[in-house]
Amino acid sequence: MIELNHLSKWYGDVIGLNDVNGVIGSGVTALLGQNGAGKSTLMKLITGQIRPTTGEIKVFGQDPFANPAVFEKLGLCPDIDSFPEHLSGREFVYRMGRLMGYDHETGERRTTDVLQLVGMADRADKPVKGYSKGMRQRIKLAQAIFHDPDLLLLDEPLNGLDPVGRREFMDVLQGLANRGKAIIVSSHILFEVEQMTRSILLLHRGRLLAAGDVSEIRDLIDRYPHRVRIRGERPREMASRFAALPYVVSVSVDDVLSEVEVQTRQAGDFYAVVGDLAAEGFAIREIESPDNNLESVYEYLVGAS
Amino acid sequence: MIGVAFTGALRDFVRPSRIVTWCLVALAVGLVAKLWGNLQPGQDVAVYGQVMEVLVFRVLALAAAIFGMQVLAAEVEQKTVVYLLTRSIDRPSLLAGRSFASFVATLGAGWAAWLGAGLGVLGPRAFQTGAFWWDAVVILVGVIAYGSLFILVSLILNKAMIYCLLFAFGWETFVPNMPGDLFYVSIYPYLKSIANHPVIEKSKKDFMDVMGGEVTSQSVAPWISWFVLGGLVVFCWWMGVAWFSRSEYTPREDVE
Repeated sequence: MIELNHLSKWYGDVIGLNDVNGVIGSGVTALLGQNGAGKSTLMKLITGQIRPTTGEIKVFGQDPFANPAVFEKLGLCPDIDSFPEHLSGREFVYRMGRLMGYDHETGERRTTDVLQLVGMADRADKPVKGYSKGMRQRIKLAQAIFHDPDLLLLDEPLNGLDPVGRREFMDVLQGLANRGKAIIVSSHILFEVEQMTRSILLLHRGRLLAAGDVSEIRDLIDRYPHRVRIRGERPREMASRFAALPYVVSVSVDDVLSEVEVQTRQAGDFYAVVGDLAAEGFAIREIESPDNNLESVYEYLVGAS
Repeated sequence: MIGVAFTGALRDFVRPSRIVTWCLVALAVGLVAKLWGNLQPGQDVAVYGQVMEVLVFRVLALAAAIFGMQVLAAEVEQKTVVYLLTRSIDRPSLLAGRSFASFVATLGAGWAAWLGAGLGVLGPRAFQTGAFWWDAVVILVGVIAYGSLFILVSLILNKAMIYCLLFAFGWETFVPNMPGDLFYVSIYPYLKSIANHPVIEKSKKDFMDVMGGEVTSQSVAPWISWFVLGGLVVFCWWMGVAWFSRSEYTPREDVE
């Protein structure tokens, strides 16, 4: 669906994206990276707002820059929080839909449908300037999915949403993904995208640092042992038992939290031992593995780069 | 698709608050014109011509600058341009539709001021005056000429409004009074030439003559004016479409 071939973008002396290669297919893909990593630049390149300085990008097999044939199949929910504030949400979505080539009747019908889908049907007739952040995000999503695109790009879609709003927004996205749409979600808030997908593209300082499934990527980083935190009684005694295991790399104890943190190269074997300790009466209250979290993968990769 | 871009943009450009604003401007032009006419009795048509050149042509340029910026520059400033540029409408059609909408809005503002000037100086007699009706055409020409130029500038330069206003009120005021060939590098003398207003008879030049570009004795033939303004519009459109089709338009902080 999207092919990136030695893709680079420079803004004068500043590099936005540096020699990125890859293919993005269907399903939900998360585009991760800190601010300035190049996520928005890649989004702009995919949506044909800007052109690459060097390299090539193909969307549906075509150059997307100012290409209406690509835009027919592509929907963008941008990160900007700007609207024609005097318009109502319904009018805004309708106008954007008309510019996709729909006639008046179809435009009105589709507007009602997508506003219903994003949960804005009952509030869409008020001016956008009175909307909350969550309502504005929903309206942006509505204009993006108006024409039922095959590819949906969401740039920081969960910014500013309250927990309920985030849950509802993610449910809408999941529904679209279940209908076979390709969805690219950009974010720097990792735990959010982790709830949407395991498929990631990790950008750092304009470079593509990693691509694929989070767990596969994590497995590849074998120089970084898995970290496991165990909270329970007698932490020092637990620590001495862990230190004796040949695959444990390090052990540290926090007496205040009654916690042991272990780094191990064989997570499966280690968890079996933890189970044995629990059976011996160590009263283990909590086991936490930060390495299962996307944040850890991100930190490892960025730290290693 | 041009029609959809046109109607959508026009509804933005002619919001009620803006209509009221331009009506107030026209009213002000009418009041000044009335006062002006009372100060120079017996030369009504010539005074009307001077009001047109000094006030209405400037209102026209101001409106062209304001509505010209709405075509794209304002969308870039407000960061809403991304919505427009990711629609399945080709860029030349988008530009044409929005530009026509800006022309219609500018024409409305220009004609309102023209009505104010005519009624202010000539009263109801304006509608029986040939020069008055001809000015409606001149304003249409000015709308297209100023509008095309300002839209082109806004497509090429950031902060285009400043340049357009400097052109409309600085360049267009002083260059037509300067000796030499610079006289020809402005729109105002050509509009004046096409309008062909009678000149107020008086013994020496005053401030109003400076404002009306009457300091030098240079002039240009109407047929040349038509040719030059036509050429300007064609060039601006060709250049604008080519530039807009190839250029990137993203909010400024994204490229800094």
